[in-house]
Formats: sequence, C-alpha cells, structure tokens
Amino acid sequence: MFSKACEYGIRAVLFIAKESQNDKRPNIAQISKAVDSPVPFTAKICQELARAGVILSKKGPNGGFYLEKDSKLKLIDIVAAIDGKGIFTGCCLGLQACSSLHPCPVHDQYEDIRGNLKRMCENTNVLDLALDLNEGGTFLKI
Amino acid sequence: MFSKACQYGIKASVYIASQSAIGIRTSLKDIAFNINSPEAFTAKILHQLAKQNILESLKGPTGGFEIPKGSAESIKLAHIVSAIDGDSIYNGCALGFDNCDARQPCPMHDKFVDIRDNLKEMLENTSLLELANGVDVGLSFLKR
Repeated sequence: MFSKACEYGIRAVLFIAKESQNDKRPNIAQISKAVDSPVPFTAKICQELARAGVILSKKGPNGGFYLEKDSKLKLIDIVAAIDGKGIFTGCCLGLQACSSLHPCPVHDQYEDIRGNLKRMCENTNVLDLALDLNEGGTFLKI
Repeated sequence: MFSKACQYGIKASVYIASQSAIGIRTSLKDIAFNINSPEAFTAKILHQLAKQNILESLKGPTGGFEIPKGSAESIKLAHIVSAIDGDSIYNGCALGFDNCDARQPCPMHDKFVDIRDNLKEMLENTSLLELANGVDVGLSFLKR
C-alpha cells in the first residue's frame, strides 16, 4: 500500500514520537536500530521529513530528532511528505484523467477504499500510536 | 496500491472480456493499443494471466486472447490481483513487517486491518464481467 520509504518513514516517526515522550532525542543510528531499517535510507528519509517540518531536529551533543510532546501530527502528514497525496487521489489503474465524469472501470468501487484509507490517515494521531508503543501493546521490530 | 504490472493486467483483462462479449478475439497489438501499454511488458503480463487460467490464448489464423462470458462472470478482480501482485496486499503489514499479527501487532495493525478487509471484500465481489460491461456500454474507459 505504502512505498518502502513511507513504511520506514512511519516507523521512524513513531519511534521518534515515543522517545520524545520520554524526553529523548534519538539519532539516525538509534532510529535505524530500533525500527529495523537500513542506516543510509533512514538518514535520507528523516532528512526529508525534517525538511517538510514533520519532525524536528536539534544539532549538537544532545541533538537528534524529536516531536513536541503535545504534537498534533497525523499519519497523513507523514504519508503526504514521502509518498505524496497521489495515493489518496490517484486512479487505481493509473489513468491520468480518471474521474467520475471519465471513470476507469474500477473507479466507483475504488473510491470507497481510497476514502476509507484517507480518513484513517487523517484521523490517526501519531501521538496516540506512540503511547500504545510506550505501553508495550504494539511493536516497531517484529 | 497496485503495481504497474497489475494495473495493466486488470486493464488488459477488462478489454479482452469486453471484446469477447461481442465475439472478437484480440491480439497483443490491439490490447496494448487500447489500454495504452507497452507491448513487450503486456505480453509478459498476458502470459502470466494465461498461466493462471484467467484468459485463454488461442493460436492460428483466428487465434487471439479470449475470456468467455461465463468465465468473466466467475473471475473476480481478486484473481487478477493475486495472479500478478500475490497476496501481500491482503496479508501484508502496513509498515512492512514480516510477522505482524494480532498477537504481536505493529502500531498501525488494528486500523489497517479494516482498510485491508474493505479492499479484499471489494476485489472479491467485483467480477470481470461487470467491469467489461461498463466499458462495452461506454460508461467507463481504459485509456487516458
């Protein structure tokens, strides 16, 4: 569903969010290790997310990536920064001009799925997912 | 959501079924033209679909690709998708973990299960025949 970069990006942000709740600012090495992702790819993705303002970064000896403790970040912000919003608007058969006026054969059926996915991403708070992680109910390394 | 190969596979199957409905067997060239796909890639995908019995490929002067009406009714989108993309879209984890499940879930697991189930239900309930009918009567399009 999501690209590999996006999968790693979500994992990284969730880990960063969890650590931020504990007043920590993880660096790339710690993030890669915690979410089981390759270091160079993770560095690139985190840079991209920081540039897009999805995560914050601080330089220096105590530096690293973090989120505000009361961050209102939604899942859709991460997905949009990495995969773009095409996943929520694009045609499932790849037609450029697919719309309800000029639909591909699967348009109507797919619209529901796409809508559900979008709503889920819009309504999911990164902080809530991080709290689940902190409580040990979910995992970032399986 | 679907791979490029899978998108072409769906379009090709819909086109073949819509042509079969009016008694025409189509050629590779015709299919590639009508779904706007590269010929060599399309050939590979058609071969894969034929191997999974989703379409029939008949040799000879009146040969071509065919999906009889009866088959088009029983073939669901799900068959085409799993023939090309496999089952990972149904069973795969949103965050790409190999062993994510309800007992050891990733943080997205519960929310994603619903989406995945919706998708699965849609793919299992949508027949090739209804998609081909839409194209045949000009309600939907395979190009642009």
